[in-house]
Amino acid sequence: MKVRHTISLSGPEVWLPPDGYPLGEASWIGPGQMSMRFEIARAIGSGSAGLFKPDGPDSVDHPAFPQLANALYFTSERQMLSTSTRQALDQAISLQDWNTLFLASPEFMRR
Amino acid sequence: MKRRDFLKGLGAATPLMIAGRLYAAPLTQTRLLVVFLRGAYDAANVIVPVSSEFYYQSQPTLAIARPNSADPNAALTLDRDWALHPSLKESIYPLYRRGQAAFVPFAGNDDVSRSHFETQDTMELGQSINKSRDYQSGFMSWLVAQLTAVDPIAFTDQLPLIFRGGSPIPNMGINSVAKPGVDDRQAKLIQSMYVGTELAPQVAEGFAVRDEVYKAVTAEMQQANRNAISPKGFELAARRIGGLMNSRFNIGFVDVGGWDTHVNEGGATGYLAGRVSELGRGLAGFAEAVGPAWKDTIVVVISEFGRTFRENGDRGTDHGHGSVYWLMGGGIKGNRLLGEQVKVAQSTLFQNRDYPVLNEYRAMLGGIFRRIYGLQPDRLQKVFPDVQPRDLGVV
Repeated sequence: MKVRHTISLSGPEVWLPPDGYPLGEASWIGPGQMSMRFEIARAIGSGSAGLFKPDGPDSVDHPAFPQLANALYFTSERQMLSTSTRQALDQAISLQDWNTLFLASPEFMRR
Repeated sequence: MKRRDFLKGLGAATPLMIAGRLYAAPLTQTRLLVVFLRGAYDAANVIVPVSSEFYYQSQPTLAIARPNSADPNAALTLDRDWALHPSLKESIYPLYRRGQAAFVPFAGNDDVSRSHFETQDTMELGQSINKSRDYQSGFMSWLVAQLTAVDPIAFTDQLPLIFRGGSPIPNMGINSVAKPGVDDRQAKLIQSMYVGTELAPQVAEGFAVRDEVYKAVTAEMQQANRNAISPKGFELAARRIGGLMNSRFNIGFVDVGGWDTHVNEGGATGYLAGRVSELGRGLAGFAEAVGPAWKDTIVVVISEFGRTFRENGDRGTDHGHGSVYWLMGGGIKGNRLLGEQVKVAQSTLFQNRDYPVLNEYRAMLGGIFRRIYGLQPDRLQKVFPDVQPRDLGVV
């Protein structure tokens, strides 16, 4: 539900057409939608949004945020990023912050 | 370099200054707010054709009673033929009587698909339906492109079609303003990643507007806490919009949903009455919040189509054609009904079921834009191609 709500804020949903989500870029890149994407990046990256909560009434939230700055990143992913993205990531002050920037990078905006 | 070359270069560069749009007070005094009632509101039961016997025959359970000062559920006289829904008594009716509101019956567009989605698109595109259309280009983005010193914004979670196709226009859902989680340092770092990419203007604009709106809304919340009652829903949104359009933006768009009343619509009270009442309180609140700028403000209320003139078997109404649009503003010549009219009777219905469209919305809006912005015909053609603007004499 939470995920669905966050998706609806970043994409077109007030009047979702019967043929599903639009494919055109213009429907997704409004300035307010970009800001919302970065909020979502932060929510996922810092684990603060309850997005990793398993279903069920008594389930316990997974406490950790994802470890994205891992070996895979340093061995291969880093080479695929633009210089400005790498420079921004190098200025991260915590792992959560790093995750947020990584997920908010231009490389993460397109399929 | 000669001054002439410098100025020429400056002129060429100006339209491209997208993210660099200056957040200063707008030069143009005029403010325009377009309110889209998505879902097709039942115009005939809000601006009521009280002189029509046929109306009372067609709506046995939904009809609003003829004006009668002793009956709180009776309609409020607008002119000889029309009266207003009683739930607008405290909000829109006083504005109407002051000459700051007017209604355009038999208004709409040529789309007869009776599909919400298709007709909303048709309206937002503003292009002729019998020609090939650019489905990524809305008329308000074209309007913005014709003007200088404009600060447009869509007060919506998503950028609506009406504002797409030109330079990036900010959008901001106004009811769900929360303290941003992404802080200033992160915002700067994120922006630095986008420098030189085609998304850079959107990203910069998004952060700028986010901060500005959050600041304005927190200031408003502090004020509101001193008053006991805080408005909700569209009334809250409209007041916030008023504040932002007083100080910061001068072309706005907002949409309001919940008008698709197929079942148990209600008459003088009930579901539709509640929606209309909230809309009225919202627009009156907007007029208040926009402050002294109200005299230079035009509000246009539109909807994709009207509803069937006869009520259905579920005490509701179905998808129709012609609607009634609203015009408001501190400086307009209101207190009247505008545009072409016909007698409301079975013989004048469109396809024997709906209001006809006698006042095409693009001609109507074109006439208003020509007045308030002084747009030349060639510029108007870029907003509404192949449309002859019509002056309703309202501004």
